[in-house]
Amino acid sequence: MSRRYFGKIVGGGLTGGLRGIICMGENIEDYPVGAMVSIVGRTHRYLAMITDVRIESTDATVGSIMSARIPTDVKEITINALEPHISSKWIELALIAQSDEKEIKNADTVPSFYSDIVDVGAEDIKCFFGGEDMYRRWNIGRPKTPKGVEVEIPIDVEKLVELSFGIFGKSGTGKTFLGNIIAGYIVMFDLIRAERDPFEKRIKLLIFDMHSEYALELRDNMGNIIADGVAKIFSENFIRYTPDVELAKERGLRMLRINYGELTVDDIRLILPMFGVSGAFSSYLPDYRNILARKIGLGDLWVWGLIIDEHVEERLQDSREGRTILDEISKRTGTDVRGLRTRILQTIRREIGLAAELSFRAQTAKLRALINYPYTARESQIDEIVNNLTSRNGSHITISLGRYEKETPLYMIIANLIARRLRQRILKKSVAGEELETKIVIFLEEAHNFLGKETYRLSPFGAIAREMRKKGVMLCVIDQKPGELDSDVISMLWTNFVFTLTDRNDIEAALMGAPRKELLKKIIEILGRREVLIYGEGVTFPVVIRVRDYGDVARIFEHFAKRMTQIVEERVEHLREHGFV
Amino acid sequence: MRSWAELLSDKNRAVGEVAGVEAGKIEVFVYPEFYPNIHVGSILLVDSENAKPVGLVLKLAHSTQHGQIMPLRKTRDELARIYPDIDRYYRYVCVMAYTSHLSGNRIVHVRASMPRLHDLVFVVNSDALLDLFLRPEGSWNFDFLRYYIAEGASSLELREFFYHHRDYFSRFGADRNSIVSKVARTLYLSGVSGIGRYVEDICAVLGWDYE
Repeated sequence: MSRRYFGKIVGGGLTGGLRGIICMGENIEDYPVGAMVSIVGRTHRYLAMITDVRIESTDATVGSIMSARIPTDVKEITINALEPHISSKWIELALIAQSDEKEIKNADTVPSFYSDIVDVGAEDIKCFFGGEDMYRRWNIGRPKTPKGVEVEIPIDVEKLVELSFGIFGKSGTGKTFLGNIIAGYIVMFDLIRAERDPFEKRIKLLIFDMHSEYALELRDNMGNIIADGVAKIFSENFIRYTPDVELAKERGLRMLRINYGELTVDDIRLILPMFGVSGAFSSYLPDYRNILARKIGLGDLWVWGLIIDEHVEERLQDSREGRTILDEISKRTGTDVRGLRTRILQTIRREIGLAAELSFRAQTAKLRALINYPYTARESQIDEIVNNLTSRNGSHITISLGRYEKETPLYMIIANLIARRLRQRILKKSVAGEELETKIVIFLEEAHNFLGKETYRLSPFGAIAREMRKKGVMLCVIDQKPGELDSDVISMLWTNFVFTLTDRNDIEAALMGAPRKELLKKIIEILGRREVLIYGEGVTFPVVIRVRDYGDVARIFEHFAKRMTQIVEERVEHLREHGFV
Repeated sequence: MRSWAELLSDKNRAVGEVAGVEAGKIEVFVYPEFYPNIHVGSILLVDSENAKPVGLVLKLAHSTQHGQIMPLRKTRDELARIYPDIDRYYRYVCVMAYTSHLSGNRIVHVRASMPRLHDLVFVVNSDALLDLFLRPEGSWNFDFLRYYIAEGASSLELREFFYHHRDYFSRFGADRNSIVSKVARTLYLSGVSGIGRYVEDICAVLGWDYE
């Protein structure tokens, strides 16, 4: 079927982009950057993305009219009359894909000179991107097209979770909404697949939910609730943890406390800059640890040795957990807090030197904030979390920070503890020749804290990113500053969802693996809210879409979750009827 | 004067006759008594046998037919009294740019065949005939200006064309937008630079230069 063309290809190339001239009478405002168009070549049909739009005035006529002493409306009339002659409208296009009678593939040819540029239609979208099958392929949003098209583009969830992927964009662009949508699709895909093929590995999600928008509700920029988060909707399939006591009580989330005994020197090192602790202290830290754990006798309570003083003691006295810790410290060291602090300082001076002691004296006060975090003397819930993630019958996990949402050190402590324990568990299985029963996808917000250029080698997430892919652990790296991520991490992401970014380094990083990235760069800066460029394994070809309204997707999730509950109830009833239950 | 036929029906209405033809310019010998009625920008119709050329006056000139002019130090009235036939010794000419032709009863703003010497020339100045010339298909058409400009008309000649027909255009104040747009487009197609200046002149002479 031939469609009315709105422009013609008049130049350009595959790598540098094509130039098209828009026909007279067409409104240039109908052609937004990022929109998909179709090009009808002689033997191929092409899919292309508008990467730039331009208008040009061909001569000095406009200036001459504007400077003439004539009424304003006459100026307008005159310029309007001459517009077709003195102006031209251009679009620049990045070729994305091509199709002919035999195949659809990435574009490796260019359309002939003066090929028609036509609106992309629903059948083009289906032809190039395929349709939703509500199993592997789920609609993610509507592609940006010049005049709008009533069809959506699916992501291939199975392909998406085969490898790590990234969601990047400035704050407020819609990363969390998209994250919830993707998480929900993964949950549904996993549940359907478990029905169809019970021997396939189950997928488990571990979501670090800084702002409690996966476990509770998603909110707009004004703080109004939009819809329930994915973990709340699929509450039967998720265990939701929080370090926030009140949130746990009020919203029925499980409490997550930290046992500081589980922290390593690297864990502490990662959070030191956030407390403004000096580099010298950081370099002494392994020695401090040795002294505190061995010479002083604190053992795994060595972190308490960093911060213990009368003030901390007072705080510890306020809770049962705290009193238990104090008792244990006292038992292990055989001294009271005042005496302990003096002993620690003297030992440091004797063992490492005066400079180390002075550094310890000056810097440890900055670490006192650790007393404000929810600690425990007992075993933390980390093992329980890891058990769920690594077991076929386990649940997905969210860790919601609640009132600690701005406490990045706490977030990092929790995330690193879980990541390390998870890695240890997987390596243990691997050494034993066992295979992981599940595939794990870790949603990591503010990922630059763990996978940044400085932190990548120290954080257990770095090790997971490097070593765990083949063992079935994938990362969903969510960040507003992709430029701060280590380039190794970026290169491990096989599908990228890129919302608008403005910093050049961030754009460069977010498009590192994109085809014809020089052309796509122009798009990123001017994407609107909810508009995202997707490229990589999860979609057949790069595309800019407007992400589906989360409220609509949440209703699909709710319907699905309800149906799954019904199915389970029917089965239980069936078993009961037959005397199995 | 309501029709072309009526205009051409009386040879005494002729204001001159063709004295020379060179490419797009037609030189007209203007009868002395009509000389004051011809201006730069006047529309002239040549009563040729086939297609009848129409054009706009580009320039006017007159000189003595014989020898050189002798200074007389007389007023115009004195001259008329002493030498009542003085005009017979002068040669009044105008050069018109050939811009259009009358085919049957229809004006087409394209040039056709060339006139012959001595073909009679008439001036088009009645509102009815100006209507037929300026709005041949019922809508404004200034394509004739392209030939006028090509034959050498500058913004000043255009200014004079509109000035001498200002009474006619003043009837169409409501059509201002349409007139300005059509003129602007014609000027653009003529390749003139500084269209703004042309439009400014036209608006000034037609009294459309108010805000």
